[in-house]
Amino acid sequence: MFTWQNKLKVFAPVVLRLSIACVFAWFGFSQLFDPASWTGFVPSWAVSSSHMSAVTLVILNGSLEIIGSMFLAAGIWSYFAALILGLHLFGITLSLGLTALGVRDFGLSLATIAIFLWGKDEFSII
Amino acid sequence: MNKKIITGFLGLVLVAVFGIIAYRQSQPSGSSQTPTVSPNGNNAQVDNGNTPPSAPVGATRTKGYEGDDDYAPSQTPTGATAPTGSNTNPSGSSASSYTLSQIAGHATASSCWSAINGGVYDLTNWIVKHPGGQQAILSICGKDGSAAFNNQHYGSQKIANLLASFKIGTLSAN
Repeated sequence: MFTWQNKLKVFAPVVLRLSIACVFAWFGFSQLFDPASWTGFVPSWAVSSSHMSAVTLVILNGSLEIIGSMFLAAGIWSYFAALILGLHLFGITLSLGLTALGVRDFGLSLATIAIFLWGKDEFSII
Repeated sequence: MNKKIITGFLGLVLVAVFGIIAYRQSQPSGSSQTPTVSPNGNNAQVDNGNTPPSAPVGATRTKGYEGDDDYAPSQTPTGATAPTGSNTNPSGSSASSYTLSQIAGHATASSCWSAINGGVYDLTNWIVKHPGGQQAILSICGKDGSAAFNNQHYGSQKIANLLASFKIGTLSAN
């Protein structure tokens, strides 16, 4: 391995953590600011079992993603936030199925799980 | 410890930046809603005597999709009123039938119609919201997008339900 790679690899986990945080932040805020556009993706069983409207579920989902992204970005209990977000996104992937969106989200969910597996990096606060 | 705090702070700034970007994208742009009114001057529509589905469709379809009970009632009058006066079926059998030539007149981002699996859909407001990017929708504006749609979303009931909320009529063979 080159010397510069040795020096730079310490940034690898934090780059992954911040980039995944950005993804969840974007989608979380999108759901919060325009929940009606996302109601089509809410499974019917979630609406019927929770007795909440699809809009409410979208807002709650967006809030979860925003909070998780903030923990990820700040490096506070990031591994815990990564586990929750990763499993959450993996569940969404299963509902999307084998489509372009599903495959993309599958990769993202595993990348988020990787943050959990890595644990605390050098730039994490807690 | 300093580098951790700085990194954490920068991370939160990044989250805030993406939040602002998402907020700006969620705001109705002039091209997504207003043009749904302005195409009144669309020659294709005027020539055919069509009542443009513009404002009512654009205004209501952003408020939820089929399957969302909170917004279902708002969709009903859209489907019923928009095509009124737009009957181009010579037989007069349906008030919401469109031919491919009529659909071809709505091939822009300001007015995007597409025929998918026998139905006609107004996808104007969906262009900027499509998770797979705008180009995927723009590429089927004004034409039969069945192949592109089925290649990407075939078998997905969720996507089919979402698409149904944009339906404005059926494809006429004439």
